[in-house]
Amino acid sequence: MTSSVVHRNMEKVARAGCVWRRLAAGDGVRVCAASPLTPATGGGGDPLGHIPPHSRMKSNYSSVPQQKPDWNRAVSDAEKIVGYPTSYLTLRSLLSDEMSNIAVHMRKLVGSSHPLLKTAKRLIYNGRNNMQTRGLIVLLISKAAGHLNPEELDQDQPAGVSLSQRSLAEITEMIHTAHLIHKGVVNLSPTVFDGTTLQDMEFGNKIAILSGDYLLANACTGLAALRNTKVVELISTAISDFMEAEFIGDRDNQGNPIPNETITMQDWNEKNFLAAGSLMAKSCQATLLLAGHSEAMQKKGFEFGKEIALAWQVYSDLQPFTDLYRHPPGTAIDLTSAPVILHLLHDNSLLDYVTAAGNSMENCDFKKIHQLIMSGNAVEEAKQLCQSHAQAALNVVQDTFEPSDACTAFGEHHKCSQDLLAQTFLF
Amino acid sequence: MASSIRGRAVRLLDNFINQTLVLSTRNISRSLSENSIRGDYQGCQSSVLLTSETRGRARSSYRRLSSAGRALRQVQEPGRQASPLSPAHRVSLVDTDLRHMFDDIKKELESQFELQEIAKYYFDGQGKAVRPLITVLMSRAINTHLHDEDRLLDSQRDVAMAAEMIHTASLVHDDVLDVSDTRRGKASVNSIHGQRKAVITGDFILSVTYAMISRRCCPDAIIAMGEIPKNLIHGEFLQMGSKENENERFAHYLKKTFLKTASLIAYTCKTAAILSGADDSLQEVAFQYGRNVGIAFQLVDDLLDFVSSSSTMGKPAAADLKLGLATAPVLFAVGQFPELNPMIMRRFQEPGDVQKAFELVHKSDGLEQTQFLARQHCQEAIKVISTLKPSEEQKALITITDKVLNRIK
Repeated sequence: MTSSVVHRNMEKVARAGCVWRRLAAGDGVRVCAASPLTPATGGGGDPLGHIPPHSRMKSNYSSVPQQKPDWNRAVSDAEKIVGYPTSYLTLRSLLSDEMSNIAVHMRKLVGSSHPLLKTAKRLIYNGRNNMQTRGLIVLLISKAAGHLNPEELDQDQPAGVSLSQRSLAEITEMIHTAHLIHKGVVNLSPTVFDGTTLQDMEFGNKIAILSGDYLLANACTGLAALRNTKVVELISTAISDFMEAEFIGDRDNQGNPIPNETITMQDWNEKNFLAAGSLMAKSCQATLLLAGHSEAMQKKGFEFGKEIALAWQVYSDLQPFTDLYRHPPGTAIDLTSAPVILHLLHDNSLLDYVTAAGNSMENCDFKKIHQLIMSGNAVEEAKQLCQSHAQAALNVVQDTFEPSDACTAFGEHHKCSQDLLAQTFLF
Repeated sequence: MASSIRGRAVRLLDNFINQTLVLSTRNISRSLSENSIRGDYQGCQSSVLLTSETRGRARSSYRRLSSAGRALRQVQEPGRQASPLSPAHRVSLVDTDLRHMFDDIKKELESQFELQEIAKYYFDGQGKAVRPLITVLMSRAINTHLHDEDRLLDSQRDVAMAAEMIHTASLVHDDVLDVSDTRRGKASVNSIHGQRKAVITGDFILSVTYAMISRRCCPDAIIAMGEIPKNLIHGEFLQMGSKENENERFAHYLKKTFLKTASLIAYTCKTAAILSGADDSLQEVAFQYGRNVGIAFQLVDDLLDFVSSSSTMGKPAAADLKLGLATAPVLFAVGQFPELNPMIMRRFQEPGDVQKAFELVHKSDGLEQTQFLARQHCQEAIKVISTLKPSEEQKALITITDKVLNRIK
């Protein structure tokens, strides 16, 4: 089934959100030199960190149980600080005629295997944990930097985050979600799907396109309402970057990326900056711009957003090798993910398996590929890469939001959110 | 270069075959300022030379129209002759503005990947480019009205380009939604590159458009432009649902028509006015003109779906019926042939429905009534635009309503 490959890809994308928890749990600990805790070792990682809270009890893999990260608490602390429940970020746009219309149609999809179903499920069940972290980061950095035009804060004075900045956080989430949904559109060909499946897929595509377009259209209107042309430009180009990333490198017939002999980490960087870094970087930059900060400060925001998104991405790339509970060997792997490329740099015998799969990566012997990569150093190298990006993000926070900085004038809340930004890496 | 100018001029002239070409002094002076006297002049000359050939082609197309189409054309005849401005003149009014538009759009869509080829695919100059044409004319008409200066602002030109780009982005998504394999007489993006890339390309074109207009437009202009995607998608949702009640059904259809087609023209006209510094009531004039012309445009489109052959439209005939859509001609025909009602409700899904509905519409006066309604909207458009200070562009905006009513593709 081609669709199952697509599913797995979709899942992978969604799990990107887990890195936050992971950063909080394992890698982050190592980033902080002062931490006395034992770093995660081996391929096991910290499965506790990336299983939704309600299913945590089921987990019996635990190579590093020393520390139990409380992501939910971190989020609710963060929400208190920014004064806004992030789980409502996209909810407002979901409570509309159009969306209830979609819900009605979505029902017809139940039972089919269209990727949209999984995306929708995640939006509803795991919203808080997986999907809303981008908006939360935008709010946190807004809070940490402070607003230079207090008169714009108006009734939001106590929270220290302006209405525009909240709106921007929502827009960031909407764009990201729309992109996830549109990426899940399935290429249809009568040769791959039989009659009923083809119809299901056709219908699923229709709903996916409409709901994605709906979110994007709302993002457009929301962006325009910010009344800041530079922000519109920044965020619009971030969307273009997303789309460009989809066209980088070779792809199979369902759009799954395929590596070649010459692929390097430079390629990985370029692609993932476009696919993940750009939106985060530009949203962080834009929120500082809205708060009236200097270009130098905005650049820092950009750096922070980029680094955290890349750390996030490596973490997500690592999942098939560290979280064997959710990715038993044999599960499809993104063949241009960081561990695969890092392995290819030492040993390109892996490409034989790729060539053997022909035009559809679902034919790949993922079990063999998994074994091959686990036998080398690539996973360890990828973990180091994840740390270095996380460290870079942390450095930006520490250098930029010094207590001596002008923005500390904005009081206790500032200090608090600064701590929180640091904490997300620490606990 | 000359041949593409010729191609566009010929297309624009298609409906005005009996009129003579006047090369106005104004056009010459504009050409001078463009430093391209020879090119422009030659372009216009070619149009003259081609006119007789075009005339023959257009006539044979008319002959192919159904009796309803012919009758409608006769009804339109007096209106056409009454138009005060020669069409060639109108073409020359905006030709310099639009000449490089497609090249500029392609420049905006530059990307290092395959994406750019797919994104540029429809910007081959083969489209009617009605939306940019109207935007440019509206910009110049409002600029004249307010400032006695008809120079087109760069930002207004961006908006004209944006009109075409947003339209194309929505077409790319529409073709995936409708599982359509052809567009403008060539294979659709989704049929060549697959659904996934088509959807992503549509998003790309839209985002590039907003990045482009954000560089030169003011926040108010961007707010007006920001309404368009929301309207388009809202219209798409309305199209998915249908109403039991006949009266509601027509209101539903008109609302959908505004959202899906007219809103783009209405908001780009409004944006052009905002950029010129128009106040609220003047913005409303621009908006209402665009809204009415847009609705008329779609009504004629729905009518042509019944009377035009696939080779002229670039899409198969009765395409709407096949998609299960009941457009104005059908909704009018229901009055005379109530047996259409159940077919509308089941979206023409049963075998023979499309054929039967097609015949009934032709038997009814649905096509005439659709044309009549389109005409009313055009008259409303003329009424609002007549409140502007007279200018050549204003006259062109009036004659363009005839083009909308009498187009054959």
